[in-house]
Amino acid sequence: MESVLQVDQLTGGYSPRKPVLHGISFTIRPGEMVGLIGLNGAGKSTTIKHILGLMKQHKGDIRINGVTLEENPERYRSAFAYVPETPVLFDELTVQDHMRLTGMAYGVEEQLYAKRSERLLQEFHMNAKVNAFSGHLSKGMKQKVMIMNALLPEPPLYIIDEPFLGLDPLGIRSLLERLVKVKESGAAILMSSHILATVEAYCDRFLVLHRGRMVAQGTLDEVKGQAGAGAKTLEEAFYRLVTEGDGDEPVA
Amino acid sequence: MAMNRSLSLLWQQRATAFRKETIPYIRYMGQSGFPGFVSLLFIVGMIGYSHLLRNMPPSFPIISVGVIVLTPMICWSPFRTWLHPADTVFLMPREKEIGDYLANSWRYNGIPGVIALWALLMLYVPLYVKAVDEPLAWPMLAVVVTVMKGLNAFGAWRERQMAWPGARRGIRLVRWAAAGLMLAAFLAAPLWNAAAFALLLVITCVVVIRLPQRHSVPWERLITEEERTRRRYYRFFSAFIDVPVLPSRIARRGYLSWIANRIRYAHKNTYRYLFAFTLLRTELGGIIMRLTMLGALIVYLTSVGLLLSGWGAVAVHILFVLIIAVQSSSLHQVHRHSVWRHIYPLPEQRHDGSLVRVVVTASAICGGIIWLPLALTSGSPDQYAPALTALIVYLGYVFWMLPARLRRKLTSGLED
Repeated sequence: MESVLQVDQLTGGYSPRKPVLHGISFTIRPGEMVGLIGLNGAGKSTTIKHILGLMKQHKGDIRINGVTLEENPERYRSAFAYVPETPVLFDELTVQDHMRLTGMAYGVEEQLYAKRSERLLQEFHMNAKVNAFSGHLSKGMKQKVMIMNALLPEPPLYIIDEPFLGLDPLGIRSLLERLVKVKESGAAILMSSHILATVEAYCDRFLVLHRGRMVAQGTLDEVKGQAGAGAKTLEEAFYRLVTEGDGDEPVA
Repeated sequence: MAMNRSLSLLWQQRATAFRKETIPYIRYMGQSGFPGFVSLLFIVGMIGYSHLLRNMPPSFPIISVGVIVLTPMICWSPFRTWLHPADTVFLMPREKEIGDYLANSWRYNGIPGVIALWALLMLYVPLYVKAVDEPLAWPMLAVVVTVMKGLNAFGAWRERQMAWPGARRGIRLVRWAAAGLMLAAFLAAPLWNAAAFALLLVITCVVVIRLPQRHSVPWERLITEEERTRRRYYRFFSAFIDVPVLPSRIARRGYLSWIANRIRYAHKNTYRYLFAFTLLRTELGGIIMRLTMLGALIVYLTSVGLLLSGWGAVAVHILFVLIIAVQSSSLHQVHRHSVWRHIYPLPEQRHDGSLVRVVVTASAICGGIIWLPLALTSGSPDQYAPALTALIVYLGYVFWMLPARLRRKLTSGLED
């Protein structure tokens, strides 16, 4: 099956002389949820920024739906939705206005937009806040708005950076339930998170970044194998991968 | 005691820091055409004023004008404290000593306020003395407005202390209404009658003010107001030079935002939708709205007063269209660095195209509103020339020069 996202030998960072990422490669196929894990500063957000096209890679190739950003920016961008680590909302728009804006931006048909926004508001318990400005929302609610906006266009790829920060238990559950459905419908998800237990329970594959290098990737068993014998959980495997051998060299 | 001095010192340091922070921007403003424009406005105003003083129509509503002009100056009581959010952590534990800190703010805001009020009074009194049969002696009037200013400053402080926004708004309404009535009484009625009426109003206000719950020091309110003032400064400076972007204050403005809601749901309208809301709901919209009202009022006055045989109104109209266009052009700064601009599947030129369209539409509508009083007051055919000229010049500017200028600005911005 053709991959939705293909990252090939990506080297990048803020300055060409000081790359943060070193030759990262991975692919994500439709119907897959992939967890991106690593310590603070491992390069998770930098990887995501490169995929989004917010940063220019020094070397390597990133393809979404078969095209690079330069080849076809609109096709590239319309193929994914993004949930940033900290909610980025427009102060002057209400929750409803945000959804309408997203619907327009991604070219969602008007009737479809109406149906989907209504369902999302219901699902994330945001009906009471539909006319609230983002400045009047709590952090968790802002995050919900971000997630609802990402879900609205139903793109083939979701890029989600630390989605659980600030969400209440109900919100986390709605999000996870929704992500499972999204996945079952054939979309792909790249999710970065520090909550390893959740990542372990929901993701099909894992990417372990350490100091800008991919130190392990694959299914839970594969990652455990790469971490060395005896790792029972993802957390244990992760701990070994990022503490042993100083992580500068790929373990696998 | 030493602690007290240190809080007062902190106030001084913060005031100096703000001054230093804004000096470069003030310099840029000085280099722009703005001071020239203000002088021009001043000269035009003075010509109109002396014209009015010499040929005052017998029906001139001098009392209403006095109330409209002086009441805001009396009631408006800004209070700069330099407080910022971190102060709820670091300064709040020393709330007992804050009086000394705030005393500086009282002086800083009170004295210029009174001076400005007197300056306005000096302009008003000659008109007043001329129009009213038995005017109140001007020294007495000066005393009255100064006392009223003091009472209002105190009232405004009490409002800031109120725990519930609803109570604060309600009482502010009462205070403004009372001040307007009181002033009207002093301007129109014999002194002692007016004084008795005023006393009654003051007692009512004092009773009303005592009712709602209040904080001893309204930290959050003062911090919000300080942020707001700071934003206003930067919004002003942004007309001359790029400024650090401060989060802007939002108002729902249902009476305007329906316009944005009328924008058709379509992929190509994405940015138009966003910019329309930005323009209507941020402070920018407030500024443009006030400028439009002010412009329409001045055009009306100059047109009715036949200043420079009607051409004065044309000059004012064009000037206001220019200012509004410049102000609304600063819309391009608002979402310049938004991450969504890079993420939405939309071509970059659509961003710029939508921006130009929204700015042009806003300038055209506001320009039209300012032009209306000019058109409506041109009674006879020989007076049509100024209104027609203003229309042609303004439409030419808005639809031809403004888009080109904006596009140039946007492309040069891209090369930064």
